[in-house]
Amino acid sequence: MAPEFTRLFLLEKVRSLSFGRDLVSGILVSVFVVFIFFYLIGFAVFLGLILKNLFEVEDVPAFLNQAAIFYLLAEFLIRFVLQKKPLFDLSRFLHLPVEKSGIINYLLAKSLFSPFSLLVIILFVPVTISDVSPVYGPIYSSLWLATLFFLSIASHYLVLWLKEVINGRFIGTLILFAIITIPFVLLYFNVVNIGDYTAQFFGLSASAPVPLVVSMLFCAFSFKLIHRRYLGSAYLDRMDKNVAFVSGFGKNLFSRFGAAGTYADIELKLILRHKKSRGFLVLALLFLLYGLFMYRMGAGDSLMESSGIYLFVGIFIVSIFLINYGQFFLSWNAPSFDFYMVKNHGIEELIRGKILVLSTVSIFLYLLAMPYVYLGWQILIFHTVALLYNIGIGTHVITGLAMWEPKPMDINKQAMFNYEGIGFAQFLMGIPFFVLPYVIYVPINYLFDPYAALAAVGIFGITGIIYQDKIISYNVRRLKGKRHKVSSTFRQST
Amino acid sequence: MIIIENLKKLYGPEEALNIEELKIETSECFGLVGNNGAGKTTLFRLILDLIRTSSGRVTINGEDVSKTEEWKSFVRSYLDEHMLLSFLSPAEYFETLRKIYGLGEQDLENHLEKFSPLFNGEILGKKKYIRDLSKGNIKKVGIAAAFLGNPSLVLLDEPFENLDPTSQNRLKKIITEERETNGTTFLISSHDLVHVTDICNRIVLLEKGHVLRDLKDEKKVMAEELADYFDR
Repeated sequence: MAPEFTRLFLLEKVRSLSFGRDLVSGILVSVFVVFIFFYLIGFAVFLGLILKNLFEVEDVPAFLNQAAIFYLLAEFLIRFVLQKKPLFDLSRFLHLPVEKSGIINYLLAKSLFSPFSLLVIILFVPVTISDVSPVYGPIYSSLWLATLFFLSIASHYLVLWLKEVINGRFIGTLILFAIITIPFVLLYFNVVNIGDYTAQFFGLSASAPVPLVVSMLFCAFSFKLIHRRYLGSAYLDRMDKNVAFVSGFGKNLFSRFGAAGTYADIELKLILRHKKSRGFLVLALLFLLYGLFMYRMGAGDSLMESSGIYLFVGIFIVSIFLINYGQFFLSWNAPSFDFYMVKNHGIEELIRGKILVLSTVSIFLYLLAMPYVYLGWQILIFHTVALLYNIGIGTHVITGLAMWEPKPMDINKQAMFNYEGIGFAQFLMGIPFFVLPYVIYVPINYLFDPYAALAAVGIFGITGIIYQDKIISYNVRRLKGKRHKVSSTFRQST
Repeated sequence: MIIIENLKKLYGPEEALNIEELKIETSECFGLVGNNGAGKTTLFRLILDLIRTSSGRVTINGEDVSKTEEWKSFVRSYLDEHMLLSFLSPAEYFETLRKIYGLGEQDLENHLEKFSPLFNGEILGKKKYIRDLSKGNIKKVGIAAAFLGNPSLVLLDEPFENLDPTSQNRLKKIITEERETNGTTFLISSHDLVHVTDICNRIVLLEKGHVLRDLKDEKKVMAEELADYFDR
C-alpha cells in the first residue's frame, strides 16, 4: 500500500487549492534548510579542530561522550517545537479493507523523512572520522555513531508520543520544558554535570556493542509507544475529550465596539474552542519567557547599546500570537465563510473584528511582559515601540500577506491525523514583518542615536494607528474584490 | 422581488446555469425542483452573490446583488453548514445573530418560542456546540436562523432533507404561517415533490441549467406535470 499512499499524498498536494502558495513557501523553506545544512556541514567538518584548539579539549571522544546527552536533549527540544505531526486523513481509509496498523506504519515511516533526521548524521559523521575513529577504530566508532543515530530516531517518535499525551496543554508543555532544561541549568550553575554519568554509557561503544543494542531497543520501544497510541485513536470521533463545553466565557468582552465587537466576540470563542488556536495562545505565553534569555541585567546605557537586538526581542514577545494566528488570517473562518458573506457588511466587520482581537491580545502580552522593567526601564521603551509597531503596521503586514491566496483549513476536524502542526513555513511570513522596522531603525541609529531610532519606529507605528481605518478599508476592498474566489475555495475544501 | 436577467454561470466550458429571464414576485412561495446537477444550488448561490456570475445579473428589490450589500439586511438563507458558526452552541449562535441583526432580546425569545415545536427540546439548553449536533438538528438551527428578524425573503436549499417526518410537517406549517402573516417570499429547493407542491404556489423545473417548465397552476395539475417529468 505504501506506493499507493505516496501517490495519493502527492496528488493531494498537487491538486490542493493552495498549491501555488504551498509551492512558494516549500521552495523558500528548502532553500533555507539547505543553507542551514551547508552551514552545519562547515561547522561539523571543523568540529574536531574547534574543540581541540578553541576549547582546548584533549580527549575529543571523551568530551563527545559527555556532550552527547546535552546534544540529544537539545535536539529533542528543537524537534518538539519545530517538527510537525504527520498529516494523514485517516477517515478516508477507515471504511476500506486496509489495515489500520499498516497505515500507521506508513505514516510513521514517512515522518522520518525530515531534515531533523539528518541532523545527527551531518553533525557527527565528520568528527567520527577525524577524531573518534582513530581512538575507537573504524568498527566501534561506527557503532558509536549508530548509537547516537538510533537515539535521535527514538527521540523523534518520543516527541510524537509526548505531543499526543500533552495534547497542547499549557501545564504539560511547561513541565516537559522544565524537565529538559534542568540538566542545562545544573551544568550552567556548576551543580552537577549529568554528562559525567551518561558518558560511561556512550564510552562503552569503544569496546562493546551494548549501547547500540540498548539504543535500538529504546528506538523500537518508542516506535511501539506511538504506534499503539495512534492505533488506539484511529477512530472518527474526536479524541479531544479535555475540551469541556465552556459557555459564556468572554461573552461580551468586545460588545462596546459595536458591530465589529460582535464579530470579535465570535473570533474570541473561535480561538478558545479550537485546539490549534488555543495552542498558539499557549505558545505566546511561553514565549513571554524569551526575555529571560535575552535581557541582561544592566544599567540604562548598556541596554541601549544593543537596542537593535532588544527591539527585536520586544517585537517578538508582543507579536508572536499575531504572527502565528494572523498567518492563517481568513483560514480560521473557512468553514463558515458563507456566514459572513450573507451578512450585511459581514466581511468588513469580520476583518475589523479580527484585527480588534489581534491587537487586544498584543496589548495583553505587552502588559504581561511589564515585569521585565525591573531589569531596566529602557525595556519599557523597547516594548512600547514594539507594541506601537505591532498595532499600527505589523498587523496589516501579516494580515495583508495572509490574504494572498488564503488557505482553507478545516478547524472542526480535530482527529489527530489531520493536525496541522506549528511548522517552520509560518516564520517566512514573519520576515517582512521583522525587517520593516529595521528599514527605519538602522539608518536613523547610524545617523543619530538609538533613542531617535526607536522614536522613529514608534512614530511609524503611531502613523499606522492614525491611518488604521484607511488601511483596513483598503484591505477590505481588496478582499471584497476577490470574495467569490476566496469563498469558493473555502467551500470546495471543507 | 427578485429579477433575474440573462443569468449565466460557466465552469470552464461547461454551462452550469443559463436563465434568460425569471421574476419572483413578493410573497410568492417559489419552489425549485430538478435532478442532481440541474443548477438549483448554483442559482441560490448566484442570487446570494456567493459565486460570481459569468454574465447577466440578479437584482433584489432593484439592487444588483453584486454591487450593494443593503439587501442582505432583509434576506435570509440557509444553504449548507458553511452558513453556521459551528463552534458556537445554538443559543450562542442565535444570540450572535440577534446582535448582528440589531434585534431586541424579546424578539429573539418570541422567535425561538415559535420554533420550539420544531426544535422538540433537542436544540436549546443542551450543552453542545452546533458541530456536535446531529445532521437533522444542525439543519433545524440553520432554518430557524433563516427566519430570524422578519426577513422579507428566505432562501432554503433542501430544507426537508435529513428532517424526520414530524419535523418536515412542522416546518411546512411554519413556512405557510410566515407567508400568511408577514407576506414573506420563499425560495425553496427540494427533491420532495409532495412537500413542494403542498406549500408552493409556483414551481420551476430546472434541467441542465435551463428553466424547463414554469408551473403556476393548481396544485393537482402541478403535481401531475412533475410526476410526468420525473417518471421518465
